[in-house]
Amino acid sequence: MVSQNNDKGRAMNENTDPPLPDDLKKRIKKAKSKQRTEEKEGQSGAASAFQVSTELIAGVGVGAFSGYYLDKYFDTQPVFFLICFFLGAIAGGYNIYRSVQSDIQKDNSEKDQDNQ
Amino acid sequence: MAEQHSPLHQFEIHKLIELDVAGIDISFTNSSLFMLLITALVSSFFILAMKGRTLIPGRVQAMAEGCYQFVATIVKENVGSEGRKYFPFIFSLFMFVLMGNLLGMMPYGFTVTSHIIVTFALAIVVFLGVTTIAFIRHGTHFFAYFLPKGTPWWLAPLMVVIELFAYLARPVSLSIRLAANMMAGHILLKVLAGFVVAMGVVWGWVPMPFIVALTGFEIFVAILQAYIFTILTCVYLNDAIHLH
Repeated sequence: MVSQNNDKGRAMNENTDPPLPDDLKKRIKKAKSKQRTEEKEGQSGAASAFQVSTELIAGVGVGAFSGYYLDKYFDTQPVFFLICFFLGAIAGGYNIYRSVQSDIQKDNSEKDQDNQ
Repeated sequence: MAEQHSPLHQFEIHKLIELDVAGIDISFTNSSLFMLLITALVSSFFILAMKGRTLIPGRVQAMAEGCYQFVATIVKENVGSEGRKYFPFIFSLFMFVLMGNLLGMMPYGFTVTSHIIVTFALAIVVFLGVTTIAFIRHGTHFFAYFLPKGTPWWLAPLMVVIELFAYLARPVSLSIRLAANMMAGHILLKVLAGFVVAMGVVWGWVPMPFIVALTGFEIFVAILQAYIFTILTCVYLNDAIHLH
């Protein structure tokens, strides 16, 4: 009984649709690419700039916080705070770099798909 | 009177039922009330919408299925088929944040997601969960994540610390982003509404269209931020499953 249900579930997940005519395929592809560009335009430059700024705040915040408590623990007042503050800032910048890089990659792969 | 018009007044937390267990204040506040309301609304929406379970969905069922499809696509595109296991959690997270953001737009509403403690609690659950998944799947190999391939040996100690901070900054940036976006929008609305009163009967009409436009924009931001919260959760989950 249980296995039967599983089989049914698997069959539902698999693509069992009959093959589509070429014309319809093209139209679906066109509609999908249109949808994608619309989604991409949804986020404005200011919004993504705001995203990126929180990344930097979080990096500096985490660095300063952990540095402060390391100092308290080892009783070495400004040493760890200063080091961790700057390392946190670098980490924040690194996170920004990574998120922008992935955005660029996504853009490029989408362009490749559209060109094909 | 002056306090009533403060743009920050809307974020105040009131105790509705005072509760004190072993010196820890666990009072039932307006924030808790709204979180319960969110859960109740989301649950009842899906239970009622899927009650008919017709093959051709009606309006409400189409809405519920649309939400499901939306999150399912995010998970599939960002995590892949392995992410299917974690779909229920991500879906609940999305609906909770979305409903929290939208309930804040209701008159007399309270925005739970504008409080950093709420968003941080959500983010830390994601962070701890994702880290646990990474540990279970990769064991100690997970630590290789902190050392990118091709790092020269003399840079390795520095890179490990920077990567560690970058990793720890994730839940912080995730929670700050949501809370700051919600708070900024609501303060802006309140300040503009204050202008209407301050500028009198003649000029008070000038800020009105801006408030209308901003309300629409805030609803857009509410949905966008829920989407961003979900998509980043998926990105972190993907990192945990595939490392890179």
